[in-house]
Amino acid sequence: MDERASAIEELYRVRYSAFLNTLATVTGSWESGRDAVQETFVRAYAERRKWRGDSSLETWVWRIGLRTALGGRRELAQAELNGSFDPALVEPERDPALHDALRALPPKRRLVVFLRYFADLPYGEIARICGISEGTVAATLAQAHEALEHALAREEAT
Amino acid sequence: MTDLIQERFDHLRREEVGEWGEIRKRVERRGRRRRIAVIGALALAAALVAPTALALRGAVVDFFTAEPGSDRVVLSFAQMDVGAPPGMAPNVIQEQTRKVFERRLNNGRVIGLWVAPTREGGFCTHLDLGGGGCLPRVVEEHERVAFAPGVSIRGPIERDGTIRGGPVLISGSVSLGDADAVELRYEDGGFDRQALTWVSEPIDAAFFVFDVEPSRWNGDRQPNAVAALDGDGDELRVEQLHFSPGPFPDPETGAPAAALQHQARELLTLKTHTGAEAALWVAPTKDGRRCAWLRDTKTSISFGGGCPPKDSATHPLAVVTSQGSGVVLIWGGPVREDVSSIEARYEDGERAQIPVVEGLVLYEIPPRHFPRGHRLELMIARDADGRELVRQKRNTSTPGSYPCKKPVPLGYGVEACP
Repeated sequence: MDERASAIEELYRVRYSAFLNTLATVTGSWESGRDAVQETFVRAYAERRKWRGDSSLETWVWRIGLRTALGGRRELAQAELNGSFDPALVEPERDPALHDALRALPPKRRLVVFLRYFADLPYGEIARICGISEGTVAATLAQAHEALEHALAREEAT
Repeated sequence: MTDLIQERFDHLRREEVGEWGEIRKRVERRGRRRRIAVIGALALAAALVAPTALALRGAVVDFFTAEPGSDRVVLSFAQMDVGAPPGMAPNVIQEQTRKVFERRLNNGRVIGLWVAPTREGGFCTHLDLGGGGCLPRVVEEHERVAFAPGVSIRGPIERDGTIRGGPVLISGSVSLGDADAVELRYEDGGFDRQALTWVSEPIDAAFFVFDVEPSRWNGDRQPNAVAALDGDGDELRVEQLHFSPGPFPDPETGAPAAALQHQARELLTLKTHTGAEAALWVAPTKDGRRCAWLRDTKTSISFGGGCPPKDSATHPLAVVTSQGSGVVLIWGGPVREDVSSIEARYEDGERAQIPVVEGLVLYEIPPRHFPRGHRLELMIARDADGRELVRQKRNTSTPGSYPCKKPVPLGYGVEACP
């Protein structure tokens, strides 16, 4: 087996849950999330020679994953991330306060939060995956933190 | 507060394990579909440009427009089903036989490779001068057959295994979606590479044939492996070849080549109803194994034998049935060491005890049990206390299993005792 194939297999085995938790927020259910993860890695494995090495392999697979979950759009441009999708917790009833707090954020910021907290990705990776600057990621996460802190503080107060 | 957010996400996070094997299978299936789509496009383009372009160096074959099989080949496929034991027939659709390619061999002769689908989704092949066989559809339980090379040696072959005549063909099929080529590898590090010829649905597999140069038939330059390669030349799978055909049994005594014949002894004998004298011989080997072989003392005809590895006696009923010259024998072993006797039960209710001597057996099925309704239907292995260890049902309806006065036609020119 070639090195890329081995690396993709290892990524799958180590990071399956991270992909599932994150992509399910985009597809809307665990079942469709699992389908998206499988399709992501089928595409990544089949097209592994297209990875040019200008980003990490994981970043490249994440971009395939988000495109897959978003329904096959070719570009992950900032504009597209702004309004035409609606990531959310798959089981909002398990933490309604967090769900409400996240819903108050614009979709793009929500995705950044999910990539940070479900996928455990560093700012730089999130930036490359979403096609935005690292500063934008930092600012987005800061705004998200602030909004979440307010919302969760309100929850604690009530 | 940030840690609190992380904790809340962690609380919602699911931990699951994915199925990587499913990824590989889907990739391979997709690869095959893509390739078949390309075949269609190429065939159309070739038809528009020039008929000769369809050859495409033999890389792709559209099943539905490929050359149909000749009567001879269709007949050989049809005969595969005739007389097969129940449940063992490949169910080949012989009328859909197609030519995969023709190859000119080193000796100047041109041979063809033919393929026909089976009703279960697999396919059968026929290689002129090289025999043929059938493979099931490549699904999980048969994944091993996704790359199946085989060796065919025309001969003659000397007793020590030296190949004196050819052709020596190494052929097979590949159903790995990424496969583009195969590489025949030799013991001295040399190799030959060949582009695969893919055949579209319903075959959905690729084929190859190597004609081994005579200089590589013997010695330390023989083929030792075949590798399936993808478009970048990366290995997809490697299969080792068991190339050396010998050594063969002693033509005088029938003893396997590894047997130390000066230590051989006759373990079991019986006189058959035809007057033949069957003898089961045993002898040790240099490396501590035991050989056993059966021969007719009068005619010196050998029924075969072998020298199985130590600790191979793991099945309570590891015996074989041989039929020839009007005689049916149950013989061989070694059976598992706790088996001390075997009971034979016939369809008409008759029972017989088959003794086990040093783990081996030799028993003749009497001719009164040749007709249907009287045949052997069950064998039961028992231990020294008479406790039943295992039962083995026997097929009583397979054509050709028992002798008869007049064979009957089974179709397609095949005759056998019913």
